[in-house]
Amino acid sequence: MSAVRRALSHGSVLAFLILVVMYVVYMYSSIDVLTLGNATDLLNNAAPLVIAATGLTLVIVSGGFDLSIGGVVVLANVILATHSGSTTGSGLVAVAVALLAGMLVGAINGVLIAYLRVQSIAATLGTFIMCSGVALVVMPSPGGSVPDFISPGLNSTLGGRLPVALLVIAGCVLTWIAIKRSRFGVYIFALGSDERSAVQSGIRTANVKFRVYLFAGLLYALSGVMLTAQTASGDPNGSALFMVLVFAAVAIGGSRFGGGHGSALGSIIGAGVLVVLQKMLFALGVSTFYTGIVQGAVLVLAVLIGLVSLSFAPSGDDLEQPPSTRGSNDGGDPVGTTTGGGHVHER
Amino acid sequence: MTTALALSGVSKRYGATAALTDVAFQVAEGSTHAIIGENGAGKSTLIRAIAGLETPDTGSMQLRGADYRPASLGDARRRGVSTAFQDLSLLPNLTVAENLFLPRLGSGPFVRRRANASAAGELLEQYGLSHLRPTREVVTLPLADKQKLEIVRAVSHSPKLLLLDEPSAALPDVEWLYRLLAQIRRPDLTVLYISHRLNEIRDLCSSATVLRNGRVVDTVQVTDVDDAVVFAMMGGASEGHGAQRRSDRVATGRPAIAVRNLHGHTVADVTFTLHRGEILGVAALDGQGQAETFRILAGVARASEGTVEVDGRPATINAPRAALRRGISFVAEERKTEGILPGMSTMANMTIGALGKAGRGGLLQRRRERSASLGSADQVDLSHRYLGMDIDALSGGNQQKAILARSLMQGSKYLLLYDPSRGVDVGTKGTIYDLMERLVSDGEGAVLWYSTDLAELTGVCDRILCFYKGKVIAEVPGRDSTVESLLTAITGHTEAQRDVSV
Repeated sequence: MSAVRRALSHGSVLAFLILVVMYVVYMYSSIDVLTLGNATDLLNNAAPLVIAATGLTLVIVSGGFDLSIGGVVVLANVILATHSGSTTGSGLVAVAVALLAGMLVGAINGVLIAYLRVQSIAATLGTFIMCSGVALVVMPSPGGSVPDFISPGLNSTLGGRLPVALLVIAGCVLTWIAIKRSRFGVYIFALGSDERSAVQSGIRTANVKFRVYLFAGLLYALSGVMLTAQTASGDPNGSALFMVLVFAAVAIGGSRFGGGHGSALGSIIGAGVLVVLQKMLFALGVSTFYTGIVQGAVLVLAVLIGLVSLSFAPSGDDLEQPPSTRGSNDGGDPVGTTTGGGHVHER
Repeated sequence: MTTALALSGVSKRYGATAALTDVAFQVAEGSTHAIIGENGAGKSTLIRAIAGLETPDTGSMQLRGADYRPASLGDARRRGVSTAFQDLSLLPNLTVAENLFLPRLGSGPFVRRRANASAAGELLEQYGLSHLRPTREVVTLPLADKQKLEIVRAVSHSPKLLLLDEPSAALPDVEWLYRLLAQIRRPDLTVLYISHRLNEIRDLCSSATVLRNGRVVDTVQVTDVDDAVVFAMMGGASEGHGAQRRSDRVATGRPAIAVRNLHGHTVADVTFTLHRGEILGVAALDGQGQAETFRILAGVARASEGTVEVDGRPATINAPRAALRRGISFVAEERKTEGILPGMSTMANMTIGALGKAGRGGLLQRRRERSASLGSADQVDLSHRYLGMDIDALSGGNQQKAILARSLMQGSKYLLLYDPSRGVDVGTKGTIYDLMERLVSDGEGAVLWYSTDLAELTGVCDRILCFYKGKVIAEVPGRDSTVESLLTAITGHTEAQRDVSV
């Protein structure tokens, strides 16, 4: 029993169970679910969400927050829709420019948050709004077009069998696994868990933070490219709902907002849950008006189940705590390098 | 004999607080040197400066004759200085091995888990921690093992100068630590040992520097001085304040709060009674269970066992509201995070707990709010001009007055004051003493008061409880107490005066 609880408290396992259940329901609700075309379609829908959720997971695990997703995605979208010309060559240049733009936004976030110590929500809210503004300058009204290799290219299959989107998603999984096994990955988890201890362990936390936002920015831009492949045109206005879904994917995947715990695998499965849910409801004939309601409910439910199982699973937090209350150092620590300090447990 | 570390004129200020003033001392290479001092003496700031986490405002440090001004912890480590911190710098969500090898974790960008685990295994084996699995997450370790891991981690960088900040604080027995120190002893390894436990210092250290209020009192050879002298140096005659002696009434009033066999995370069987009309002092070093005791009584923390009676009736205090309803008001240690509501006016901070007095029918009325707060402001000697100001703009002392005024406005009879006079000026300290006096003078109110300044406890309290390792190990009548006797008791050096009356 406790094994089940522990598994459920591990976000990705729970999200995976939800995904399987929904997929089964979806399978029985429609006849052509298991065709290649349908699977490709599903993966195409999921890919942008998966990429962005991978990026956001990095930020969340590091203890930060990132609202610039929506801005970067739109920016990449309008750059592609206005500047990619019609040939593959010009399209590739536009893709490169879009990715660079994403990294630039990430770098700005990184400088603001890591070196100037601006709160991540404020900094990224600012860059989100700025990006939206820039997008309107680049492309005042919806429209435009992209070369074939983006759309339908990125939505199609390689050799008629292998969906490009599947490769992209697999790439995200591999990226996460590589990060998890890298020194950088350990630093991210350390930073998100306790910045002060991370510093005292010799980690250059500002540098780690900067790299997190930089890489996340790149992934958001990549997500924007995949999204553009679906719409095949530009829209400088729409992105808020997409951003909300990215956050939902991360939450369903069980990453802890506040940092130190989480997995992009969970977020990727979370993205899958949201997309399959959409498809399932459509197949069941539920009006799209209700999709949002159900998506929100599933999010809350997933987080709740995770919380409930967590409260039963044995958690090290309860074992013991240091005898000295941190923050009561000699001479005090008024500069505020501690975040709240470790007071006596409040339970 | 060469000098491993030399400090001269080192000062560090945080805003208005001087943490270190003109600190100078030398440590001989190969020796184990103790830094002794009360809470707030500046030990931790000193450690953080040597460890590379703080930059002194003035002064210079020299490491083996060469100029030493580390820009970061990594910088200090490269110069051969490594530190085991008192507040433990382990990352709970990482494994034992990962913690040990941060930040390098092996060559190349990837973490070599298997290699790290086996290297960690050897290291743990070497220092008598073979029972720790390298792949275990640190969060699951008991505190003592975390402390040991922190120390082994510092040792593993093969330092030339090893800083141990209260290394024994969380260790049930010091044998392990003694063995480790004997094991790593080398002619070129210097150890800076920060502790308040004199017997350990006598066992391990040859010389010691005593700090008080951020200044060096003296640097002595441990064998040349006896305990009483050291205690006198640590405590000193804390300048002037708290000189007034209480009358010698002892626990006359009816019980206000009676605590029996309280247990918690850090509280191991605490029993005492706070009487009406009494100022009951609490003396303790950091982390001896006094913080949790206060927080349990305030409804902020839960006791795992034990009973609390308020006014002779059993009371379940499971939330701050419940404490307030019974007339208990808690003034927490961390003014910034637990006391003030930053960004609001001083007046709003005072009236927040008693909004019934500040308005009618659920609506606030400025005029009523103001008139209600004027009286309380007078009681705590807070100038009226501060009322309209943002509370962040006030000095620490005035913030403290506002928080005390809040407790008064809530109509609390019993105040739990957790180190209210730390970091405030002498004048505000006087106000706090007066306030406590007034509160108990009618024989109805009562004050439970923890202070890190032992001198003021001896000057103001009717009785003083000494906490050590989660227990009340001594109870001293205020008029008989001296700083030295309290210091002796709270450092666990005497079992005297064990008659803890209830």
